[in-house]
Amino acid sequence: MRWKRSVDPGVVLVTLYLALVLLFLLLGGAGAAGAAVDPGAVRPETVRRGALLVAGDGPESFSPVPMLEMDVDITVTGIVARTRVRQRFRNDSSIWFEALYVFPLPEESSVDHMRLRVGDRIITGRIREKEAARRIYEAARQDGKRASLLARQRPNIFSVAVANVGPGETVTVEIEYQQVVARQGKSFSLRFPMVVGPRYMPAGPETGGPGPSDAAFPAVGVTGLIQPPVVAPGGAVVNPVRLHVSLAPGFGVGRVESLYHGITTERKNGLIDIRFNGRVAADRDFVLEWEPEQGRVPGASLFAEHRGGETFLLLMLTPPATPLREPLARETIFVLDNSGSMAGSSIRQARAALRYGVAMMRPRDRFNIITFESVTRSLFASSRPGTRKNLLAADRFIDTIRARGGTEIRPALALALDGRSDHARLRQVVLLTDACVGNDDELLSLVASRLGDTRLFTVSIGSAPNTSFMARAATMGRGAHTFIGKPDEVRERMSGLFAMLGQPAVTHLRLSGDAMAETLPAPLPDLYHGQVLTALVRMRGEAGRLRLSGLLPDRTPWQVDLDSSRFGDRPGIAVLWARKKMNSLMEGLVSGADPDQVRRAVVRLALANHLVSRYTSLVAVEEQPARPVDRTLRTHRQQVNLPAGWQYGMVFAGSAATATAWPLLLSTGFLLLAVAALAAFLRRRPE
Amino acid sequence: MRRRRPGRAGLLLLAGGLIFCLAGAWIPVKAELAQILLALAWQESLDLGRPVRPWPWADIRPVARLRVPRLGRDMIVLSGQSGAALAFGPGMHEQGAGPGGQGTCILAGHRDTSFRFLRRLRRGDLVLLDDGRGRRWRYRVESTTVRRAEDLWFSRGPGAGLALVTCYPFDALRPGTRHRFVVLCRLDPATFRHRPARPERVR
Repeated sequence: MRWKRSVDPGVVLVTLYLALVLLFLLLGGAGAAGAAVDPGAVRPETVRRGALLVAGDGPESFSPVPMLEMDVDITVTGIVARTRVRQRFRNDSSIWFEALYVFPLPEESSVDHMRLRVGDRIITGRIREKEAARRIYEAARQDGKRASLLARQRPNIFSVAVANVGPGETVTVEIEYQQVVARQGKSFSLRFPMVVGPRYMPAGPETGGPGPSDAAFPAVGVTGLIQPPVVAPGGAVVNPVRLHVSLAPGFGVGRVESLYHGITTERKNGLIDIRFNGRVAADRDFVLEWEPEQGRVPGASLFAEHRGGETFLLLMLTPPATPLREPLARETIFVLDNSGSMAGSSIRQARAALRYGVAMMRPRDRFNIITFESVTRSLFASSRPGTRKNLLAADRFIDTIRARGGTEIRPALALALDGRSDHARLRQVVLLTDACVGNDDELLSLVASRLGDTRLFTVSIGSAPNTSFMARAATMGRGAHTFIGKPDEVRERMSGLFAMLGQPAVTHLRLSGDAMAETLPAPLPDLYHGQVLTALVRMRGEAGRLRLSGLLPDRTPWQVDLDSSRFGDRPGIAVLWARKKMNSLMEGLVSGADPDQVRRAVVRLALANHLVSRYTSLVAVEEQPARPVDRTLRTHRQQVNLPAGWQYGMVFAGSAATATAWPLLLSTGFLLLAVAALAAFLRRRPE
Repeated sequence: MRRRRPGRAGLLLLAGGLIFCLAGAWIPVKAELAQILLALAWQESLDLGRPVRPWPWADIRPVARLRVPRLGRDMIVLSGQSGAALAFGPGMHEQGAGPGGQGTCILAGHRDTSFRFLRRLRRGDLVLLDDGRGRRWRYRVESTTVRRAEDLWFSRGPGAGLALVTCYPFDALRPGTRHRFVVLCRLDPATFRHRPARPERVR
């Protein structure tokens, strides 16, 4: 047969097959080469740190600007912490400067003092309504007087303006605030935030945006203010911080630990002194945790302050510890942020946390996963049981999650919170995000209106999450807030959260009593096993009886009686109450309270307690003008560091396809030619 | 030894191989040819003071000229990072800063054509970027890193930077790898001392 003579189909098939195998091997090899690059070895963070060494030839160096250093002193007495922050603005240039600096403070902090130090002169700040304070500051600035203005931009973001810092001068702004330390199980913790993450402000008409009352500086818009200039990659780390904590918790302390910073600890006469090792870059939050010595766990901490014929109480109570034999069946909706700001270590932490949470689901539970960036996606159309098949599907889904796009939380939250109050199971929504959004109030009002009988648990991810929003969302959602600051905390924190989710300890909690005027938070949240109830109470008169009652998981009633006259007296509780009250008034705003009434009530409380609020600012002005009228004043906005582990989440450039197929095409071509040549060579050989 | 004519399958292999080779070789050749036309169009747009199309049906426009004196590289940068633009030269990210502007000016190019030279850049190398208004911006290479594509975010903050981005690894056969090679440059203060009175002619 001629066909058989001209070519052996077997040989052709084998060579073609070999060519294909070779091609795939080469492709596979290329893929493996790509994967073999260890991304850990060349992280941009490392580079940024290294690049510090060559800083100093940037454009900043030709025009000197005010430098900022911070000293932080925290005194913890019992469960109340008082913090003094000294911000030192040093002007080494030959011109007069106005410095604007945006910085975070804990969301529950009551800021009640500001002092302006110039040389050895001290000017004490006064509390004024925001607009009045701004006008006072503005007039002083024009007149050449040294002045400072401390205003709130967001519940956890403040701004300070210092006018007329002369050539060669150092001006110090001292800020003081008070807060209650957090308690979880038997450990106590204190957070000092040090960096404001760049915020994503969603586009579109739904963005309420800050009202005109929030404008602190006429020259700079508010959105511009909560987005302070960030040091560019390779720029110097700015705003070094020195920190000192004096810890006197009132009991013997076992473990003391700083979660994200190196510290030195010194114990003397029942006091513990904690210091940073030198100055530290303000690029991550400081968190200190401490625990009582073995067997000395305080069951309850109760404090009272009498003021103006009223009694203010601070309660910290541990609920009855009777863990359920079998956790309750539940429906859990995981809502995960995969927006661009989560890029880097945050998304890895989030994926790990999500994996952990999903693995906790059992067949009689139901679950679903919703992810959001500019678009919202979900794993299933509706919740499905935690069977092996569904868990595997979840695992595959989690693998595909990548960080990109904007932070549009709203549609995802609306999907997760269905507004129903008739669920058969314990329904819990777990929101994992860094919440770098600017529309906090809009989201909170969504939570308030659609909660139903669902409980919202928030998990903050990353080195500088918007914890103010996360904590308020959890309060509004009658759940709890958890914080994961670094990857090796994922397991511990998530296991803590999930152990808790299955173990409600007391629900339907309420405080009652004959002289009871008010309780905060209202309503009291459900208590989970291992949690501590923290509440502030206002009572008429000097003393009175209180009853705390609730329902245990098996629906049997539970109660404790308290007598306020037996509580230790402690100044500062009234201010804490005022701060909490202001918070709850502001929360009323998002669920439809009359803004004018809220404003008047908050201003009254703030002025009476000397507190900075959304409507009140602290302003300090020196009597004598300092700047000669013929010298001009230049305004400088102090730069801030990008939070540790963050990518420059502003412009995304990873979508461009920066390779062509020509090496592949060419090598395939050569390969085919080689096979053809080989076939020809084989056929030429005598048989 | 008998001489035989190649069989039908052999011819098929031969033809396939040639087609693949031509298709593969056309890509870099096209990029080189386009750069010649682009350079002419760039010069003309500088002279006329308005953008000029490199060829009548072009849907791209030249926006800058990138040079690396140490490596003798000289190329025209196009607007945008679409596949169509990158086929002819490096593209400038539309959301990044312009040359010398506040933030990061981001240029992306193919690792196997226009930006293959990135692997040879070293810290301290001079990178020149001419904009369409005849201004020359001098940058110095500060670092070279490999990042995952999904982690590729650049600052809009203060200070002027330049980022040159290409795919990584350079010698991968298959396009679409997960990593990017990034060269970060900072504006050299000397920019403000060396401003030429008139832009030089291209090539």
